Amino acid sequence: MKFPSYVGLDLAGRTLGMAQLSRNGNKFTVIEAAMVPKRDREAGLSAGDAQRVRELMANRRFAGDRIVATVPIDLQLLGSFEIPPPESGAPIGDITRAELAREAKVPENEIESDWWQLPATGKHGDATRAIVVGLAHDHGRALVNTLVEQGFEPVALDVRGLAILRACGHLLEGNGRVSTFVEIGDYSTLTCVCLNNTIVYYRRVDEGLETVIQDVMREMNVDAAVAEAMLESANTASDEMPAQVRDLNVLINTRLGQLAQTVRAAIAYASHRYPHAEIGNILVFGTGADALDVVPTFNEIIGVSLRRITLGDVCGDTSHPLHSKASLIPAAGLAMYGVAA
Amino acid sequence: MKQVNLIPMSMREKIVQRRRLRSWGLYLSLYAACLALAGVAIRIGLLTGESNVSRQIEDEQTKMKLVQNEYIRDKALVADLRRQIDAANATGRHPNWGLLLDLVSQGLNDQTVLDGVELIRTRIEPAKVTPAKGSEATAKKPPAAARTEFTLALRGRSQSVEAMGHMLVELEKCNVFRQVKLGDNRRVDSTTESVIEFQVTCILDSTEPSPSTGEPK
Repeated sequence: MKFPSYVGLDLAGRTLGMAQLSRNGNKFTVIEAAMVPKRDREAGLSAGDAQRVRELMANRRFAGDRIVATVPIDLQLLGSFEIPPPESGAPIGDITRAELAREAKVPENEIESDWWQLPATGKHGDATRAIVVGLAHDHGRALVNTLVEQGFEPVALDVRGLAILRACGHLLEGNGRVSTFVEIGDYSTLTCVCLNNTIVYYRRVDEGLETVIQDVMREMNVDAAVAEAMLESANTASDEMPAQVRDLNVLINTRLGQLAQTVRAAIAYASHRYPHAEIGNILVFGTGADALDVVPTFNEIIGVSLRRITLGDVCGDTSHPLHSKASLIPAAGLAMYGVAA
Repeated sequence: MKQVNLIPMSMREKIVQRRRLRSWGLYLSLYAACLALAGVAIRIGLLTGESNVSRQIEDEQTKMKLVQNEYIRDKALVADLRRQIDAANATGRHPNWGLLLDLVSQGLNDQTVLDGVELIRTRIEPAKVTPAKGSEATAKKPPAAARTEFTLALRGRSQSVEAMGHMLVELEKCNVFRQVKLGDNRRVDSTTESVIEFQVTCILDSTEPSPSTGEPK
């Protein structure tokens, strides 16, 4: 008998991504996946959007009401600090929370935090470092209460990068290689550099698909719907494309090129920190990867083998109609919470 | 792989408590449902059992009524048969004294009339016999049974001695009486006539009458 996982709920971007899986050996079967356009562009989850999620789950094949949601990227606190060696017995949790609270300028007892240790660089004299993530209690309570009011049982508020790593970690090249995954979202682009299945660098820039759309709207003097339609047509354009489309492609590639530069910078930083590690592969996904043909531009700028991945790739299951969506990977990673090894 | 949960700890505890409460509620509901089902099943079982017992009691009561009816019917039958037996005993086993009176009347003549006829029943115990010593034949004989002797006492009048004698002769001739004996007799004279009043005792043969016919031999 296959037991359904939690329902993964991705709160980022213009669309709420939902996925529920069941584990089948080393692969996952997609029980159900869905995408719900958000009505309210506020950080987190509004009551109206939570109700829509509730209604959608009631009408689809989702089982149960236990949810793992992402911490909204705008509300997530993030830092990288030196920590005492874990074997010293020091209260690293308390120390890292205090450091994060100090940096975020919030009371120490008003945030929930966690941390993970970065791999040693191998350089003599380098201190032990950790990435610390956190969320203010007020934001956590508001999000949990919104879910509880709709009858959900929130199991966890997970960090986006860890959820994605859980989903696509098996596709990253390990064995001492520095591999990268890039999520081009609606409002931001997240770059996580990993070493041996540990995120060692976490970079987020506030540019994404929406930025490209804004560029198109501004340069082409069109509204948002037309701009999105133009992006779709740009993907299917041939060599004999009209001049306006050529201009559009130049515009898109310029913006994608800027994003690729940030990815290259992140990889360069990781390579500098871990000089003995070879450069591994790069995985790209997200709503931007669904809407734009990002691979050629990224390949050209970064110069590293880059692959666009989808829900079907991370689960090994292409039976679901949404298996080709690159934007449902975070939701899949959230659904793997407590299930994936 | 690292797994973090940034839900505030206080809320996590509340969520766990709520989940436990809901689980307990669910378990208790299921338990209550199971108990209710079991109760219903037991109730149904008891009702079925009760109905079986009731049916058995009704069956037994019906059987008892049937037996009682049979008993009453048999009792009535026995009573009827007993009455028939009593009637048969009352009629069939007694001598047909009418025949005797008929015989007596045949012996009368036109100068003799009877004033009274009385049948007297006398039980005669057997004589005690002391058996002789060494007499096997006597010893083997069963003791004699008591016998009943009937005596017909006639009382009447006759105009003449000859007529009275004729009557006595006729009574002797009928072979019914073992002994015909003239008792008291006397002449009575009145202003109109002169008659002889007499009493005659006729002892019937002591042989028991046949039960089948009821007639004396």
